[in-house]
Amino acid sequence: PTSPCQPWSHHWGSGGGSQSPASDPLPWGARTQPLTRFPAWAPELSCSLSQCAGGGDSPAPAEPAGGRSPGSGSSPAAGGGSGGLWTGRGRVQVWAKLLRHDRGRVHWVHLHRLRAGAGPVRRRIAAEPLRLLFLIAGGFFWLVSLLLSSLVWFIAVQIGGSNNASVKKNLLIFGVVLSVLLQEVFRFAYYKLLKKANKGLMTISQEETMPISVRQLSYVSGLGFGIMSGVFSLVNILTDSLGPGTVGIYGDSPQYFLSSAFMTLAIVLLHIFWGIVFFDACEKKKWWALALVILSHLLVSGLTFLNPQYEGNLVPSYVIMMLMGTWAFFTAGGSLRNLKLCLMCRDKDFLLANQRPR
Amino acid sequence: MITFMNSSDSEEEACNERTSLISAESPPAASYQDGLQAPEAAETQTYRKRRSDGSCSPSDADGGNSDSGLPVRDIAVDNKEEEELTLKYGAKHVIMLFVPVTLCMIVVIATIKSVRFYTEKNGQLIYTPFSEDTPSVGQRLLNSVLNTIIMISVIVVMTVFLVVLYKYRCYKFIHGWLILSSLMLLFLFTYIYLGEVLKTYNVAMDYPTLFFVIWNFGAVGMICIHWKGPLHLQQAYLIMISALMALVFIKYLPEWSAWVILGAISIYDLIAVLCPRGPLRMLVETAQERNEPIFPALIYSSAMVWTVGMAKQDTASRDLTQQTWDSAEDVREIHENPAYVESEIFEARSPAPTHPTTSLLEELEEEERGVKLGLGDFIFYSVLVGKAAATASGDWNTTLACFVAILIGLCLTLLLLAVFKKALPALPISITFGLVFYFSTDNLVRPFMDTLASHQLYI
Repeated sequence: PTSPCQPWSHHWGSGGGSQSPASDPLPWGARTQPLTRFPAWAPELSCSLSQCAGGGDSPAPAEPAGGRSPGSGSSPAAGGGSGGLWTGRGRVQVWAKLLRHDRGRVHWVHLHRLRAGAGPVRRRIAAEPLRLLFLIAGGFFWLVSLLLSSLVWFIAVQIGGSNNASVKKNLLIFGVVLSVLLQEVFRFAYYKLLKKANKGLMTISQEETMPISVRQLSYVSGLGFGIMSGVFSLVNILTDSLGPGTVGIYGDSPQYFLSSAFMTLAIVLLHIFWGIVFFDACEKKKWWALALVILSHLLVSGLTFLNPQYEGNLVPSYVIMMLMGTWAFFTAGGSLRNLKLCLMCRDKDFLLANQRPR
Repeated sequence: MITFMNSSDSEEEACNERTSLISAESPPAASYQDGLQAPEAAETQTYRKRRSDGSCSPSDADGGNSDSGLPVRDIAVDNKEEEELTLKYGAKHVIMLFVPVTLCMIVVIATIKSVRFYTEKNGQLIYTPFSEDTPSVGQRLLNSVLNTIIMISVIVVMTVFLVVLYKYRCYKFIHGWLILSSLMLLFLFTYIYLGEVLKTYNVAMDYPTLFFVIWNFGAVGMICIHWKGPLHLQQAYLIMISALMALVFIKYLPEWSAWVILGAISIYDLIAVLCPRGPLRMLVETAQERNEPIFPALIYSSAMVWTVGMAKQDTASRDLTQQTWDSAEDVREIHENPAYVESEIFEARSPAPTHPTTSLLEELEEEERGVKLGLGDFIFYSVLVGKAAATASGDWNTTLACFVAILIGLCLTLLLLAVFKKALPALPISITFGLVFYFSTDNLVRPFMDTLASHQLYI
């Protein structure tokens, strides 16, 4: 069934097409950092290193904290263990943990390629797959919300009869509103799921910090939602753009592709910002912020009803996007000072966490 | 089923499991097994895999595996930490499986979208004799169900035959069968594929060049798959032959039959792997008893190279863990004119409480064996997504929805693997999700999105 407005939209062209959002794991050794000494907060590691039962190579560039008695190595190692693999400090925690596992023996972890700095690689690689997984799961949740809303809309259309144009338009408005609401519901459901998963991981690991912070989760989930939403909105249009040049042949605007692209960009970024603000509001029980997010989503979707009057649609949408962006920035812990430091490459925390290999 | 196989010397000396690319020793710690294993065990196993997998890395500093006493670990306290670590490994393993599955699907989708040959109807396989060109819906449904029954029974017969062969140690027959099927895939199907691609893009190629290309491709493929080769090259070849097989299915299976077959194969997979008398379970248990890997050429293995070497290794503990392994493998073989083999991902149960804690490495590198996924899973995932790309009127939306659904199903399967710690079939969850999303996206989401797109509305 082709809609009368755009017959060309159903001429799904052959060839080309976008790629599915594939995810690539971090290439091995892509980001290695030099690890010249164990930081003070990993005493157990250096302690155990000093207990190495000889053999093999020297304990790499790690300088064992001298003066520690070679005991079983387990008790000093059993303690501590703060942070984890996931946090920025957990660069060597994994080794500390591995050392803790063996209670009665002296172990010595030989850190290969320490000169190249494998620590942060391990941390990053441990963090990245989980983030990637949550990204794809976020996309899946958006998809399910779309499915449900399409189901309800479909049933409503079947029931409501399909002759009257105004009835169809009303049903469409109803469908859009329902879809937006369901998306937010599923965002909340995803938040709950992520909290549960994080709590599970935390209890398993008996650590205080979560393997992945809520902020990262909010960003990742917003990105997942945004990617799926954007892809579903844009991919068919992109395919059509490879087809015959019949855009506007029935009176459509010649800026159809451009405006679609800009709108999709706005939607993707907005989903990210909404995700950040949403999760933060759920964490701190700021229900007004939640309501504001939902309202802004409804507003942006409602503005698209003004198409093809693109000025009425795109400009306010971008304004809302900027506002949401700044709100999300401040929610995520940014500040003007941080921004200045970051822009001038003087942010020490950031630099420390992202050292380049020498 | 995700598997970590335990290798031992097979009868062929020339190409035994120690030198073959895929089969290395199965690590006792599967990625998702919690509570029973130590990460050291994981590293032990990976180290052992590393050792026996000579093809993976040329710089084999395999030398010093000194036998030291086996420390009996106290695992009670460390279970939680191990669990966290294995979970961390698990996320990585999921991604390591996502990548090849995604690549295979991309190859299939790209081919379907560009090469007309694979969407044209040019007859059917002999395994689906009933035609679907009937006017009435009921008749068409009946024909597709009959086609499915015939196909599934062929699969069952082949699997049972394989199990019988394996039980009676007819290794040469099996290996010959495998070599014949991969020969077919690597030479004949590649030739056809290349011909169609060249036709599509109107590129002329003379026969000598063609012969040269196909010969090199096929010969290197045979060597990589059945003998030694770089890991990534072997992975690439496995992905390519899975994609080729999936394309053959997409072309020659009639529409409704394809969907019904997909559903039926998931159910069969579930039964064959989980039932106590299932052929695949028996196959795996037999292999486990004999401490052998099964059909290394049919499993995709995703290995990672880690950079941490543990201090000590215990070969004695290794033997201990071998005995407690309980790996299940699901291998099915269908011998069509192009014989193709499919198998499931399978998983080795983690060893019992006493497992080695560390492994001594004299070389500075340790490889952690990733998960293994059977080629049959690749093939059927790609069949589903390819069919969605070929026949869906919602086009890219449907394809993407199926893609995401399959990935999430795979993720859930791996999660279940972590929970249940036994052999699990990889097909049911993913195929169910894929089918549900295909039909719902094609029939429900597509009209909604079309209506929205026609008014340029965004949700």
